[in-house]
Amino acid sequence: MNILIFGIALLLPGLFAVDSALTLGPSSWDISQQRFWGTPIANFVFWIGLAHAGTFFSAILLVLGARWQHRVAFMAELSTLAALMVAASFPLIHLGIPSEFYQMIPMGNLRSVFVNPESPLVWDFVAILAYGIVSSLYILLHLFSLQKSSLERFRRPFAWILFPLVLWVHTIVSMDFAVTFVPNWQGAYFPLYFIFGALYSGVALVLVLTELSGRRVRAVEDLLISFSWAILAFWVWEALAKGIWHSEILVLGFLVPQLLWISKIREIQGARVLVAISGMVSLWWERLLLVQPESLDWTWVDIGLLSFGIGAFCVLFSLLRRGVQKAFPLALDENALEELRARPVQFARKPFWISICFGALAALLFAVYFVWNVPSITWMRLIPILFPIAALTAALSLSFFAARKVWSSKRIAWILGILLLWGVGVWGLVFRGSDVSYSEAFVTVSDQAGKLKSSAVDAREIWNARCAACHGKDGNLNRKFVHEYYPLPQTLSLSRIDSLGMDSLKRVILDGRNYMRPFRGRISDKEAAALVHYLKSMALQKEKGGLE
Amino acid sequence: MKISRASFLKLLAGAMAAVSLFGCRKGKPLPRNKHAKSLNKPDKNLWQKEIDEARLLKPRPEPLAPVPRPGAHPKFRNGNIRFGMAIDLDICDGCGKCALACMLENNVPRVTSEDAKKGRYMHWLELRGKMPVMCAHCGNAPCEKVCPTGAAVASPDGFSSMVYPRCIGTRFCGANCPLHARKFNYADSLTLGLAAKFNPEVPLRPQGVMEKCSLCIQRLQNARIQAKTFGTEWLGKNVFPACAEACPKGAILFGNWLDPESELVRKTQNRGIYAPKSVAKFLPAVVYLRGKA
Repeated sequence: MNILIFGIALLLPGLFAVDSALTLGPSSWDISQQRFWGTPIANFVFWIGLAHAGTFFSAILLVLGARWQHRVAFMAELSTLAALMVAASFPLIHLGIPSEFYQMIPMGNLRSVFVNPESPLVWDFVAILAYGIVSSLYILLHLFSLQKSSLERFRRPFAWILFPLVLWVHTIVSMDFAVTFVPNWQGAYFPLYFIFGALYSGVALVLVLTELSGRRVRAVEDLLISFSWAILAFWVWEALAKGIWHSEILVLGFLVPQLLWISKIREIQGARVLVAISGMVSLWWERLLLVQPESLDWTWVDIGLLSFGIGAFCVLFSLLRRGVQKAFPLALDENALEELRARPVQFARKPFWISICFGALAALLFAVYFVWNVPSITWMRLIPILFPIAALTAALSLSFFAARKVWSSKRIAWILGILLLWGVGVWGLVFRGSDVSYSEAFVTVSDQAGKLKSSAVDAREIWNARCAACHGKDGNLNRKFVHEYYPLPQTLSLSRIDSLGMDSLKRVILDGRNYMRPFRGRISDKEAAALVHYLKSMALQKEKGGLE
Repeated sequence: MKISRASFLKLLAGAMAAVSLFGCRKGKPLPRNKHAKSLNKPDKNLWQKEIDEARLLKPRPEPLAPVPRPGAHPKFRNGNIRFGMAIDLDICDGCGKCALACMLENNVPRVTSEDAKKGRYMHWLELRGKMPVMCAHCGNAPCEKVCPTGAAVASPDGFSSMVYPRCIGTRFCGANCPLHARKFNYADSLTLGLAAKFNPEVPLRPQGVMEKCSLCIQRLQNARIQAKTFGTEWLGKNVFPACAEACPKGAILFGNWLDPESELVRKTQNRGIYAPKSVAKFLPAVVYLRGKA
């Protein structure tokens, strides 16, 4: 409850900042014309890092067989979902035209424009989408397995899919920086650096959340200390290789966590929470300085976005926890979990391997499709998105197997039908795109300058350049090219031109008709009028020629 | 949790009040895609003034590194056109006429005073020290590699082009450009009265879109269409970008690197060819001349 109120208190002013950021655009926060990334990207990296904690605790430690894993697993999984939703909102805020984010979805040539699968942003988009779906499926599986023990055997296979995916996702996030030519962002150690940073901040977050729910898990504190040493190694590396080091980050991120060695301090709950928060603050600050090393000339929107992140996380997390508490009261009861843990460990071998094959097949098909359609793509650059696609497909098929264990096939068919309908709907929306036409967004030609052509000679040039491809240089149709069209374009005889009238012909040129493309924006009104005159003069000439 | 009607109404009223507060923020929202009429006679001095302002921010010229003579574009090995430019630093005295010509030719907008304070100028061709610097049109362009939507893309004519309607404003290209030649439209400059359509052939870029030197692609395309219309072989002859045209000393050479008869190739024989050090390894097509080879 307290988290919820705290969250709302931060979220409301945060929403003002988001609203401003969306309406005013990127100029409302602090970025320069040299480095185009600002606080939204730093926040994105920070929150996506926190989102990895859940998977670390619930999947990686499950696979590795840590004995205290079940005590923090639910808390961590819920925080993953909440942090992921917060993280996903920041790149959208960052965009210059947020409403067109869907252009990054690699859906082939459906909209006749390929995305560039070489770009780390496309990798990012796919990986985070896959991670979001897979980790929500995983938490659902975990919750349902409390009630139906037959599902327990699917948890470990699922964790094996999620385990590499989480490392992959953060590797790709680090690629956003490491593949660029910005000197501060280069380094082959970046994936590891980012993964350790993410896990460190994630452990700190889970520590805070468990303490706030009135529990204490000593192993998490030990992990915090060990991760602080791991991250120190990378900070030393950065300092030695690039000369980048910030004393405040070292103090907050490394020295403060060492206080936990002193047992007197470690026994105070407030001190433990403060130590974890200091770790998170140092990592947030570190990401900010990474994205934007110079000029921290903040506007209020920068601070508002930070407040939005924290507030939205707290609200989402407490709402999720409340929902789980209502629907699955067992999940947050430690004693019940202890009993459930006594169940024998099983591993659904056959569904696991079948799902893995499905995943590999999906990735292969995707790769073949792209390379087939765009042969110029360096196929090596496709690899980063192949694994998330494989993992997503494998997870979906594994959930299908799991669902068949507990639900009747009729129910599954209903769910699949609804999902399919929804998917087709979303696909259709993306296919349709937004409502901005070229002439609307890019008004190009106007009559205010005297440069435009309108004399008869110029009109002939325009005709030859723009119209002759279909209509022929002499105004007779270019039959070879046009015969595929139905209805066939009209022959522009004098009688027809006279019956249509000059104005409507001009409108046809500007706005198009049937197969004729609109030329508005590419030629001016004057030029269109000149073209109509030219049309008429050609028809006149033809008429004369016919008479002679 | 049970909720009484009174407390529900209170909550609702509170929420409404919070929502209505959204209208009270400072600063007007900038509507997109609404093109107000531009000034009939925009004052060119305003543009000149801004160029002079921006020059003060960058007093140092780009460090140069020697590069081999630009050849075929690595993506279009069989092409017969690779447009490029050579700027003769021995002749150039940094008068800045090219910068103004570029802005007028390509309808480059001015920026708001807040943006100017943060150095967010839009100049496609900017003066660093006395050196005119623009997009180097790299063959292995870093910007093209990271653009997610293919808005920054190599042109078969061997330069780096920009497709505005595809751009969604991720600004990854700008972050990845070592030369910082890419500019971002922070504001809807036409609505703010900062842009003018000096040249009707060039579209005005909407807010949220990246832009940069296009080698005056509209001039290239016009010349191409003309050659096509009259059925002559073109090879990129008889066309000059605005900056080359404006240079009083003829320091900016433009042409096709693959045409041995072009002015560009002939006049760069036996000259030292340099490129900005930051992009020297990416096969730039826009280079600088200094001294003898």
